[in-house]
Amino acid sequence: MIWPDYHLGDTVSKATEAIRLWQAEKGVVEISKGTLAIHVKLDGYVKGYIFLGHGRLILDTIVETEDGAIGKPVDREIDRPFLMLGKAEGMQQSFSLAGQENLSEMGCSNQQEFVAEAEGLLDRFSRRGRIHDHRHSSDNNGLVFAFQNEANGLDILLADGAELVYKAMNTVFVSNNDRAVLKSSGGVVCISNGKSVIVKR
Amino acid sequence: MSEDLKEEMKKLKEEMAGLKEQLRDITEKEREKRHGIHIDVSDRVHDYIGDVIEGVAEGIHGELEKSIFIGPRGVRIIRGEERFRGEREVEVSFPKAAEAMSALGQEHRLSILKELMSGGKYINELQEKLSEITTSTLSSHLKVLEDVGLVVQEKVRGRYLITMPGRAAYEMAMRVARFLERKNQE
Repeated sequence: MIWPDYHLGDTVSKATEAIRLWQAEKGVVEISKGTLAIHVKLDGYVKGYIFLGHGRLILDTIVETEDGAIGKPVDREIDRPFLMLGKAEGMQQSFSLAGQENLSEMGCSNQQEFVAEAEGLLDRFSRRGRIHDHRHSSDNNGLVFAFQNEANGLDILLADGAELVYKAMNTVFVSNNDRAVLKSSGGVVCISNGKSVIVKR
Repeated sequence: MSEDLKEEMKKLKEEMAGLKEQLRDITEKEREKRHGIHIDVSDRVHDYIGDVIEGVAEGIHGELEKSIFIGPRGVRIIRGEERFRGEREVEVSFPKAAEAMSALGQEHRLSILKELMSGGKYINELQEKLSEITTSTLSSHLKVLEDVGLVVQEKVRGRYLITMPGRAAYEMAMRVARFLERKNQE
């Protein structure tokens, strides 16, 4: 695919309230009040945000098999910039222009520092995007999140209704109603309509 | 020997051959059930290709046995008695085992595991089923079970689920209890 020409907006905003960016049966992504945000635009339209502040990712990467549950939940505080694409229109009312004190609270000496970090993240994500087509997800109700991990890679979460795909350093979790696949350091488990296959390492 | 008798013997031989064939089919099916994957290499095929196929089949089977277990509702590949062979080879830490056994060694915790055997439950559902346990005690029991990995709690919905080790531990405890009860009755 040809990666769409995403670019950042000009202003940095702050969340005026805690916002739940995504919520489903198996997961939640939220940011707290005061979190900084900058628009991600495509053809002049806001298509997403890059956030910096206090984010949280909760994901029940657990597969229930007849032999018992496998996996454990993910509960991560997100204090590095992260990207969200999709469902951006209705959110603008929850943000206001950020001032210097708001930037300082989040550890940025000035706006440029945050913008530079956000550009770096968007660039890294865009490079991944040349391999994996994320465009469809930002054109419908789906959401794409990219979180930076300890290895300076990107953990990706794709969510659309009950369907979700989570790819992190040591975990891959794909879930769609009663079908799921979980790959972890212990092996791989697949379940479909109550039938499970477990491949141990 | 009369012609009739010869004819009778011939029929009996044919029937025997048929029965042998059926028996071989049944044995083969049973073996497939127990072993999962089996590539048929007939006794009559002793040529080079047969040997190679057999070697490959054994290799695949061996590899699968080491790595795959398919759940009870799925296709079972590994023989039941060999299912935990891999685990037995892993050196077990006694403190870890003692910790798990200690978590199991409480009547209420066994009741909790029993309730979870039928599927994930919210704490209020467990409370309803186990009304003899107070809410705070139930929470502390769940915490103990969670800490040793016999139970896991979903972060979003909050349901408690029994884990694979939890299920195995509960089944083991029940087997031991049944064995001891039988012994006492003898």
